[in-house]
Amino acid sequence: MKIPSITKYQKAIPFILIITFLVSCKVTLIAPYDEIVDKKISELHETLLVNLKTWSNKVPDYDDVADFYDKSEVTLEILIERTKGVPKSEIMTASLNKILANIKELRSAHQSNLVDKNYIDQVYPDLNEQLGAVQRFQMALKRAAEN
Amino acid sequence: MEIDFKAVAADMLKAIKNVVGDNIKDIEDMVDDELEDFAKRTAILTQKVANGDLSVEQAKSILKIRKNAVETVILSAAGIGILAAEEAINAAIGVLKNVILDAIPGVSSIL
Repeated sequence: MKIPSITKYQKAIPFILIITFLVSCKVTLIAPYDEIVDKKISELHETLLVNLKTWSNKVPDYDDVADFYDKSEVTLEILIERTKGVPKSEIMTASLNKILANIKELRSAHQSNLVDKNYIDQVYPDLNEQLGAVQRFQMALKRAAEN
Repeated sequence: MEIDFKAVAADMLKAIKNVVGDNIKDIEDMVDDELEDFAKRTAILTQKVANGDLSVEQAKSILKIRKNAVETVILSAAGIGILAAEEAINAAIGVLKNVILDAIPGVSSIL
């Protein structure tokens, strides 16, 4: 039986198939933009900073603002559960956990009467930059999704 | 059709540089400015504790919040860096894809 010779074009077929397969894939290294996370973090950012700005004039009793801490913690816990279920979202989940830890620390300080103008002057920019960083990350993800 | 692999590689590298360049600036802005601010505020914090404007308990609480904030800034910068890598890889693959589409007529239906 005569085996037909393999032409140079036939030799190239596996190479072409591999390249074709590779270029048809889109590499994903990180979870995509999440509009809900972006919106909720933006709202929390604004509420938190408005409260701190108001409290720097007169710090309210903890009981009068306990609702703010409850709502903020529940919002973050829901977002953490949401992102935990998304593959490659470890960075966002860790960031949300850090924000939650800070809301809890602020609550604890408030309950212990540690919150005053000097305290707020120190933590206001920290919390602003923390939430701003998460929003910048979300904006980068949004820009990437739009391109 | 002959494929000029040197030109393709150069185009892929250019695509990578364009994508990484945009994102690196975002990362530099975020990390440089904000880490410097954190350091300046911590220097002020030590002065305020020394002056008695803040108690040690308050300073401990502030530093816990600051540590979490710094870690979040770094995490976000890392996230943008990974996103830059993802975009760079896909931009390079995009260049290769266009070359193949030009070189092999009819292949577009399976890409």
